[in-house]
Amino acid sequence: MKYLASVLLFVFFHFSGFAQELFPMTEPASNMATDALGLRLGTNNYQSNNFKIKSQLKSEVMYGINARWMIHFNGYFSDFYSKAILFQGVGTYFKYRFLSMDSEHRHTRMAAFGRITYNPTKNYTTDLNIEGAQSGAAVGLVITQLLHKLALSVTLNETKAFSSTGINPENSFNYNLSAGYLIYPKKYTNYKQTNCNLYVEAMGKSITSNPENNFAAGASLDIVPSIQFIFNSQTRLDISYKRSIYNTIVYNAHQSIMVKVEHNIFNAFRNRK
Amino acid sequence: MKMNTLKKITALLFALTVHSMLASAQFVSVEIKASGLTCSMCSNSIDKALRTLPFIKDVAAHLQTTSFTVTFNTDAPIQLEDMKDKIEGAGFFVAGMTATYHFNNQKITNDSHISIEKNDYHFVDVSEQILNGDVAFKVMDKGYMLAKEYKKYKKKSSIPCIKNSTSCSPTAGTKTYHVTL
Repeated sequence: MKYLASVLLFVFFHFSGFAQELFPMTEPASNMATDALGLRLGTNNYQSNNFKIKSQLKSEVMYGINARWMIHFNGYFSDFYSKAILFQGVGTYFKYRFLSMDSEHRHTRMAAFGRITYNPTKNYTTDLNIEGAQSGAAVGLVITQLLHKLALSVTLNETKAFSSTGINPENSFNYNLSAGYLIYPKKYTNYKQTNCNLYVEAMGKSITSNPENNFAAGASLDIVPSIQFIFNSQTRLDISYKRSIYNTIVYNAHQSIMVKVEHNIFNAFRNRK
Repeated sequence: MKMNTLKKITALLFALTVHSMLASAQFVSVEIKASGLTCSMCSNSIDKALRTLPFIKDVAAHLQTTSFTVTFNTDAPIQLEDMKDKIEGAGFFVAGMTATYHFNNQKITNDSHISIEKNDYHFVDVSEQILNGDVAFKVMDKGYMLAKEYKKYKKKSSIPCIKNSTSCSPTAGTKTYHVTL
């Protein structure tokens, strides 16, 4: 794993090309185009202790309100905490881009975001995940930098869970570092070319709770390498492998495989000619 | 039969020659370079946004340089600002905009204003000359070039309305573009 990360970092620094910021695990500070509609379906799968494959399904509708604002609506389903796949709530996410310093082959952008989710199911888990496990809210900041050949993004957020089962943690601080690199095409000629991007993302989490709740505290750090294909400059396929490299949170999945498909429709409603 | 075809071709060539001689003053094309993007999905979003403008006939994208050549419908008035707004709406910025316009004996001098399609075009940093045929001019306003380039340009400009960001439109309510050759 460390070897793979080193190879990816070597690739970022030594080869020519353009960096990409369509990160599989996090959102960049850039927004979708005004009136663009994105439809996303993602699965997160891990093998439980009794060798059963457990899956989470995340459906997402995204919309670019204008150059500064965008909104997502989510629906969550999973059998992480049950025998069958159950509905695990809904959520909404807003992002506001407040800083853009663009020039040729580089930009620095900053955005603030918020997420609020509602999950009617009570799940007994010592992990904090407001996207599919608990109801909750999050606020955060994202800064994305494109430096000719390297795209870097840092996402920081504070998360609070609303629903408590007694063992659930209540708060977490999350920090993600993402990097992306385009490996194909070497030269753009048309929209039909399939793009292939490599990413590596580090995702850290530190969770806290009230003092009498012994289970619900700890920290974790996951590393997520991904490969991404973009078809017709419109449809995206991400395949990611998440591996925990540090974890003191009880019962957290040690490794998982994620697959995500996204399709974008430009000028969805307002600007049809 | 052959004679007929020959006549048709001659007539067509004649018509084309006359048409090109009498070509009315109009925008031929606009070249826009966008900044802040590399991926073809981003270029696609700009391409699709530009195509929603009623006066745009076609967009040719040059993905490697993230630039776009826009051609127009002849019956609709062309507004350069609308194209800039579409690019910003897609989440990016204009790094450069050069318009090619077909002029018919248009005299210009430095710091002179001419009216094109109900907009005012203020020619700056040009020598006195007569414009004829397809001539390209570059827009020198804020938002039509990289922010730091504009800052430099504004600082060294000797034209008062650019230096002090004041209005110089000869007709109230008319949009003024500052352009140079």
